[in-house]
Amino acid sequence: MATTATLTLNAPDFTGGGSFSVTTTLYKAGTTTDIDQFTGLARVYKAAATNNISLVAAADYSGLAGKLYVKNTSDTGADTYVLMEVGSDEPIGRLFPGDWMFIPVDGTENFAASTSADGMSFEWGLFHQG
Amino acid sequence: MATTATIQLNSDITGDQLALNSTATLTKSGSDRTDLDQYTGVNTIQYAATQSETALIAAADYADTTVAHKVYIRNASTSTSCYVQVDIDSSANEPLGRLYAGDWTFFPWMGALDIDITTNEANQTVEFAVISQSIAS
Repeated sequence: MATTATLTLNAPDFTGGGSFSVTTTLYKAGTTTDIDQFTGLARVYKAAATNNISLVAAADYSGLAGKLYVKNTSDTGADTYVLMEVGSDEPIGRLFPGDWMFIPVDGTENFAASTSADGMSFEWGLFHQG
Repeated sequence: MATTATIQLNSDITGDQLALNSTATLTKSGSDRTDLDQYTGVNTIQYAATQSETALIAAADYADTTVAHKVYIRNASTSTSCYVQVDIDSSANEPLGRLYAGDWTFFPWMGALDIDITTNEANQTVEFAVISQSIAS
């Protein structure tokens, strides 16, 4: 068995927004060789709002076909969020409670998270090739 | 009904096999009840030639900052060696990473910075969609 990731998007309120699914097998860059390293899923809890929590340090990874999963597991208010940033604090977006993301990582930039309120938690894991 | 996005991750890399299933209901910033109200539909673009930092999604077209936009992008090509590199910000071009054939990404977007792509082969096909809110919360 390999590592697979499936997205199912269902937007029934929109015209043409019927459910669809896409699945990818995570391979090393430019090959059909399975990705073979995984950080495992880490759970992070912050008692106070915290800026720039390092998740992925580019210096630690060299492979071009990494994939990063992050989920905001907080049960704090709907206006609280985990801000995801890349490189020189460039904002990607805000994960509100229950939101998740799955993005490619090529090992050239750092990725960090900031929590907007006290008592927030998130989980993350990186699939990579070295 | 609301818009939902579900991820299933299965992996046997570690001894304790991973079988993750998580569903997010896509609502506006600051609300757990009000659905996102805009959808581009799934766009399919075939690029005859390679692209370099080509704007795929322009921030100027969307509300920004206090928003809960979501972006989907997929490399729909089949060549093993082809990739779509996804960048944030047309100026700094901070790369997120590369989507190889069949790879997809789904992430939150603040609408403040453009999303660009770079491709490395001719005739690559890219799918994308944006689910967004019309006005910042």
